[in-house]
Amino acid sequence: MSVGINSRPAAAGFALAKLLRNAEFRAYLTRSGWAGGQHIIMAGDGEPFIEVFAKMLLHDTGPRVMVALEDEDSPFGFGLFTMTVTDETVPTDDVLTVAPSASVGMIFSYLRPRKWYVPHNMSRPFLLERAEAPA
Amino acid sequence: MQMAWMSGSWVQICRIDTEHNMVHRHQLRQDKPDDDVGMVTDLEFISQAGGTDLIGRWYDEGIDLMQAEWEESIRRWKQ
Repeated sequence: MSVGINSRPAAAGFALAKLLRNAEFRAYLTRSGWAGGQHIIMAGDGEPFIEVFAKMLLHDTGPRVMVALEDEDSPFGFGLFTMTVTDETVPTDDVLTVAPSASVGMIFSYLRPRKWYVPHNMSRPFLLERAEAPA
Repeated sequence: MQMAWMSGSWVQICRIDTEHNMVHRHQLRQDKPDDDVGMVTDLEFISQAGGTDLIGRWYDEGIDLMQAEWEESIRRWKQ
């Protein structure tokens, strides 16, 4: 499934871009691990996680991206988590198992606050960290 | 700035910025990869009075414009 720019996630992406004028929102992004220039992947709540993960791999996004999805319970209306390629040793009891049907929304709900993901046929693990709400 | 993933790399399609007291739209072209200026369209003069408010307003309007014209912008880039 491809996500067209007229889709709901794309429209949400433009809304998120407007929020970047808000200093409090920028501070929230920074505290959540985002730095200027890093990619933000907009995802739909029901979009297969594996497709969002593929976007990171296929679009030269660098070793860290932020994933954003509309979530009315999250600050500013966007749930956020980062995905980072690491060389760290993965704690075996904190590894995320991702079923092919798992959606981004399901993964986001499960991250409290972080999980490791070791994709099939890849040697380096990914650390998924959910953004903390501002104090 | 509108970027697109084309043939294995990110390319700039168009952007809205400010220079010389003017809000501009820059339309780049596929056949001129070294031209970072492109075709420039003046959008609004920035006067000293109220300039900050105008730039803030154009931040939102620029995003709306990009969203409304994204397909047309890619078509122009390919021409």
